[in-house]
Amino acid sequence: MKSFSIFSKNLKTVSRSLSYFFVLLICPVVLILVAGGMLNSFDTSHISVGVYDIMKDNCESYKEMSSGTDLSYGGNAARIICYNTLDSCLQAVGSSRIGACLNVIEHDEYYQVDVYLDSSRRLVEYYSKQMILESFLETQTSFVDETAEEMEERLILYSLALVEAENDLYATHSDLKDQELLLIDRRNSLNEIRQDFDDIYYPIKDIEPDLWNMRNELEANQYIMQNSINSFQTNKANLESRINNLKIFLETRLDSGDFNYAQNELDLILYDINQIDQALENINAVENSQELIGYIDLILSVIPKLDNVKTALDQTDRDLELAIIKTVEAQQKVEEYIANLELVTVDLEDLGEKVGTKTARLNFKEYFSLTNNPVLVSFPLLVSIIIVFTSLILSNLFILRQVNRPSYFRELIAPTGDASFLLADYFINCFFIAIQAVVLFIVGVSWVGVPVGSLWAFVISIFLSASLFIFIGMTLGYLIKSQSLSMLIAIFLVMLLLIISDLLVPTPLISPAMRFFVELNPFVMLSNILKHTLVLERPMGEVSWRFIVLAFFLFFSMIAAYISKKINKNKVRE
Amino acid sequence: MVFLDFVGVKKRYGKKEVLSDVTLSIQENEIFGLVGSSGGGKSTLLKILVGMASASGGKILFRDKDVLRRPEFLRKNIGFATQKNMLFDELTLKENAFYFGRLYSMGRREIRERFLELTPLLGLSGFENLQIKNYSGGMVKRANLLISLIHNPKLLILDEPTVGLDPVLRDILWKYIHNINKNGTTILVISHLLDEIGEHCDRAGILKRGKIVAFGSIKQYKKAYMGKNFQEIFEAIIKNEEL
Repeated sequence: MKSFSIFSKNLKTVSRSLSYFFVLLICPVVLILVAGGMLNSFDTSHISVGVYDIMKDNCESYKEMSSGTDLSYGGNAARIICYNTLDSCLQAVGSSRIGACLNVIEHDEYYQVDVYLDSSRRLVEYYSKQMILESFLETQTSFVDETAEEMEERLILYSLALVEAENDLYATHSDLKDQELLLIDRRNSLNEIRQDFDDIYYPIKDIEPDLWNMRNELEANQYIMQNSINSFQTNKANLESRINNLKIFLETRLDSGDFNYAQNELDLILYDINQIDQALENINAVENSQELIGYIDLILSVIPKLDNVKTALDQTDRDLELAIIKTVEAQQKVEEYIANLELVTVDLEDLGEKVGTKTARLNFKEYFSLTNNPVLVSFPLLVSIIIVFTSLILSNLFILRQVNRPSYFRELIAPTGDASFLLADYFINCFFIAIQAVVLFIVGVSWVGVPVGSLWAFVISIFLSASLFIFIGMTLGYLIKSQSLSMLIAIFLVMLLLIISDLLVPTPLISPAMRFFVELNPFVMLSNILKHTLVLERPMGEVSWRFIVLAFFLFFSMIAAYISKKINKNKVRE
Repeated sequence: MVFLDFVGVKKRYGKKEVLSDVTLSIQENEIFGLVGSSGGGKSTLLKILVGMASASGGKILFRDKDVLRRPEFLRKNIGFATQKNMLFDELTLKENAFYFGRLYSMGRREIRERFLELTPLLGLSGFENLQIKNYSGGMVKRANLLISLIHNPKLLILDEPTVGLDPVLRDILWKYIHNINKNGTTILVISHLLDEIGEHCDRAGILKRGKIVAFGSIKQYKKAYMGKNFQEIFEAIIKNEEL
């Protein structure tokens, strides 16, 4: 019963303290949920495979091939990522972005596919290899064959299409030739017509001035003739009048015999004059120049039309000439196309033969030759855990001890700024972490085989991440005054960081969304930087983005620590 | 010129008024005792004075300067010692002195000189390099006083300075407090040990439910209450107020 009373008391005290209740109940639930999420996200289909192929088109074709369910393990498709350089592909293996890197090397008779695996992560290596072996290797080999057949078929189709195109071009060339001959024929006919036309045109053109003169003369003559006849007829009328007067006069003066004689003679004269008049009328009637002028006008009106015809003929001649030249040029181009097509056809035939005969050979390789030194492989992880744990817990403890001392009140009332305290507290934590880091590095160099050249990368990464965790620990220390509660939350945070890393589930096997959070985990960043520089001995530049992100986080954690210091001060005041 | 003047100081926590119109003045070089019933507002008034809490109204004038508006002016001029050990136990007295002296922007030489001046005054000569955790209760109290005085404040605030000490040690401590006072430091003492207030303070104020209910010199109190000791006077005033 006493135990029950103690249990009851403990339950009441804990449940009535919301902070404890939160840490003891909610934190484990959060941890379980996060861990569950990570484990649930575990799937071999999340393994990404990097491909480097000097013939980039092939890589793209792998990518297209893998978009279905062909490149699969356990029925799920793996993701193919093409890389421009082998180095970047291998780097991606080193940083766990992909599970394996395929280097496709083309030989005369086969494709050699070097499969690089991350030997520093045995689980990832195992699953990647399993996937490559059981799925990619088999499926891909048959896939390559199928693809080769498909490519061959396509190449044949392309060749046939090219041959058809070539034939069409030959036909077009022939048509163009016919058209050229036809045009030349038409031009010759036109030349003949033009010759006939010129035979007519130029003589007519030559007599045109004469015709004009003739026409003018005819008009003038006609006028003169008409005037002369008119004058004659007037004179004839006068003469007839005078003869009639003379007859009257002679009738009185002459006897009847003489008079009759004279009258007969005068009548004869009148008769002759009338005969002359009649003759003149006849002449005038015969010489009808008006009709002639009409004919000349008709001829003259034809000449401008003939001019137009000549101009049209000249233009047609020029057009025909131009059409012939264009046709000849088109023929030349078609001849060039035909020549190129013949070359392409030959190339395609060669390629088709190659594709039909080449096979792929897989060659498994380990990216790191570190299998004999597993301690070195584990060293970055070990250092990361130590640094994260100690910097977070140490700084938290340090601040808790500080704020829970009565002397803290004396410090608060002293005329010294919060920033001074904050920086001093940070530096003391840094100092202890630095000692730890120096010891770790010496141990690493002496016994584990860490290269001395990686010192700077080690120092900078440890400095950035330790500073970040120191500020986080300080923030917790300032915000949560209760030592046990603050410590619990700090430990919970460390556990959360360890869970959201590849300690529980290897990063390449989790979903891209979860991987995003894992990648942003400062603990993972530190571990990856150390692995990259200490184990892989890669240059710092390759992980520079992680340094930048860490520095970014550090800045915000510093601000958070400063604000929490202010909050703490206000709490103490109240 | 009044050394420290509280003028109508008020403090509210929500609707609850903890201090209402507190007005009292402290003269330079005196030992002033502030007493009161539990929850009377002594600690709140003290917090406001040292700048750890804000006032809801009124003024606190330190040498005619409103320190509620310029708290840094007062901070440089006050020393504060509570019944708790406000030192770092792992450090020696000297190290504590140098640390807190630096927080008050003092130079090392200045700290050394002040330290050498204070150690004999508080009877701590010979213990300078001993860690505080090895000090006795009385020594810790005196060490606290020394650190509170390291920056040579004009006003020393003592919050229950003799709590936890036996009568002999209390007398010794008060002897040192008088020494400090003679050296030109004004002292404000908050204590519930009323006999001590009556015996050692020049003047005293009684705070009840956030109000100053009595204020004057000890002589004035004794004259008014016909030779009763301060304990009896206090009880009489509190009861009278309640009536």
